[in-house]
Order: sequence, then C-alpha cells, then structure tokens
Amino acid sequence: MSKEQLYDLAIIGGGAAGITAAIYAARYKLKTILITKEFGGVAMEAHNIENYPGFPQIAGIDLMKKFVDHLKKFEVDLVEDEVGRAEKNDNHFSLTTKKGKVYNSKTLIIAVGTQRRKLDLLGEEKFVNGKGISYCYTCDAPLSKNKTVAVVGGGDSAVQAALLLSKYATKIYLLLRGEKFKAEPIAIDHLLTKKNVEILYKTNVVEVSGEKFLKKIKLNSGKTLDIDGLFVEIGAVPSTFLAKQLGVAIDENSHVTVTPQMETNIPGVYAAGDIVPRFLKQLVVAASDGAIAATTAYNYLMKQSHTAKK
Amino acid sequence: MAEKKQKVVVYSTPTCTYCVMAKDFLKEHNIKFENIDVSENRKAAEEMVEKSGQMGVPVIEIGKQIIVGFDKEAIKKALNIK
Repeated sequence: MSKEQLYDLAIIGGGAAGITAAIYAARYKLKTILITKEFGGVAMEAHNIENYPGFPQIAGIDLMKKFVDHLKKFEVDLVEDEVGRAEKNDNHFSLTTKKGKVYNSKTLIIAVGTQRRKLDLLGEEKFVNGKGISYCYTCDAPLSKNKTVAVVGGGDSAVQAALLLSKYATKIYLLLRGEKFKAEPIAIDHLLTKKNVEILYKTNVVEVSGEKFLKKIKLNSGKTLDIDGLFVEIGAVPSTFLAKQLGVAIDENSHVTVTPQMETNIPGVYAAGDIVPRFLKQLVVAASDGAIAATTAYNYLMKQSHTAKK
Repeated sequence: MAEKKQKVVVYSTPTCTYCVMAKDFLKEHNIKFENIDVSENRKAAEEMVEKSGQMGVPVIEIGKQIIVGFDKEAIKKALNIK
C-alpha cells in the first residue's frame, strides 16, 4: 500500500451527517474521502422542510442538493459506491466497496443512517415495488389522484405523507398504532383541517390482500378497508452491519453506542446521524453530529501525529 | 450510434426525488427525453402501469426497454453511457 492511498478520514454515508462531517474535515485539512450509495440521504425524500434554519420552506431534495454543492467546494474525494466490508488492519481501516474498490483510512465516520421499517406482515412483499404498498410517499403520493389510500404511522413523516396525499386522494385513512401523534403540533393542526383525512387511533393493519395490486387491508378492529394504496411511515432501523463487522458496540435498540464526542468503543471509529441513539432524529441533529464527529477525528489524528513525533 | 437515437420517456411525478435524480442524470449526459407527469395524465399513468406491471415512479422507457426506478447502471447500459 503506497502512502498516498491512505486517507486521514473515510466517511461512509452521504446524508446530512456525512456531508457535514466532510465539510468540517476538509476545513481541518484532513485527507478525506466520502463514500456513499447516493448523496442526500433520507432527507431527500421529505417533500417539505420548514424547520431547518435559514430555509423557511424547502423541498428535501433541494436542500440536500445545496448540501452537496457546498461540499463540492472543498477538497474531498467523493465516491458513489456502497461499502460492503469494513475491517481493521494494523494501523488503518480498509473499506471494500460493492464495485470491488478498496479504500484505506486512519479513521472512519459511520454515517449510513437507517433502513425503513416495514410492517412485517405476511404478503407484504407481494405488494411492494409499485404494487400498492409504498415506503416513499413523495414518490407515489401524486399517483393517488381520485383514489382511496391509507397511511400507517403517527410521526412527522406519516403526517407529512397524509398532508401531501390530501392534495390528490379522495380519501385518506391515517392509521395510528397508539392514541397520540408523535409529530410536530403545527403539522397536526394543519392535518386536522383536511376534510378528506380520517384518523383511526389504536389501529394496526393485520392483513393485506389483493390480486396483482393491493386492494384491501384488514385492521385489528376486524374492519376491512378497500384501498388503492398503503403508505408505510413507521420509522426506520439503523443500518449497523458495517459497524458490527468492526466490532463496534450496538445498543439494545440497534443504534451504535457513542460518547458525546461521537466516539464508538473502537479508537478511530466514530458514528453520526440517524445511526446513533437520538432523542430527536432531525436534519439539524444529524448535521450537528457530523460536525462533532469530524472534529473528534481531527483531534484524535492530531494527538496521534504528536505522539508519533515524540 | 443507434443507441443514442432511441426514444427516451420518463414517467414521473413532481415530488418524486428519484424522478428528479433520473432526469438530472439524463440532462447531465445530454440525453433528450420526454417527461410525462403521470399525476396529471391519467391515460399515461395507465399506460405506464401496463408497460411496467407496477405503479411506482420513475419508470424510464428507453426504446423498447422499461426500467423501473432510478437504476443508474441499467440506464447507462441501455443508452451506452460509459
């Protein structure tokens, strides 16, 4: 391995946390690489963001394009690929991508975010990929013109999905597992003004059915709803397989355990964004995590080089 | 360069992130395409479902080939983009 192939910092993930970490790392003049399957992260799918300071109202994709444009002003190697394997060698970490490339780095920030939680129902798979069950409301909501649909969930994404759907669908059932919303009150107020949205509390979907496309859902109350589409917005689970390969500690909720400085239990490995336990999972928090992780990596590298010089 | 003359149609909706990404990708590579907003055009939406066997967007039609989703590698292959 030649010396120039060794990065100071490799960031895995190109969402808000990863991009912010890369901006900070570049400003610390660390030789940095960012590897991501796609740029923008989960925020790309938010149709409307109104709580990111400096942007009173912006679509997720537009805001994340600004993040990427900002990042491109700096000297960071950007690679669109997926890391499939992460391992620790003597004095560095090696990342192998799905395209078969190997990248080596002294430190790592894992910012790969989450994967969408599914309903976990028998037959669910039959209706995914455009057959009636959608995990991307911004993609599919506008196709619901004059249709009857249901949204599962009670958090911010579920409420935003119902709001967007209210512009298109004739009727929207919003199915909440519990008795209360977990979304922002201002968005709930807005939702309650929508005449075509019916909220069903303490409701679970227990069965999905249809021939080629989803047509019916059965609820825990025994009631059956005839629908043309089901939008699943019930949160996400952290993607921890790379962390596990490195021996990084994972907590009981499948999040990567970190210190307030974003350090994992493995020296030189940091985590940031939705993969770490957070009271509030928002863009602004992920960006903050990324900044802290990059700063901690920088301090660690400075200390290492100082020790080496002694 | 027969591949470059293939007709390219993108079935999309206005809010769909992957539709925007697919269209940006085609623009970056100077590929002319027709964009059909299936949320406005009912007939085209039905046509898209018939051709792709599903109702998710984007659907990218390149010549006779149908690509569901923003599958960059499949688009590159169909259009012979290196």
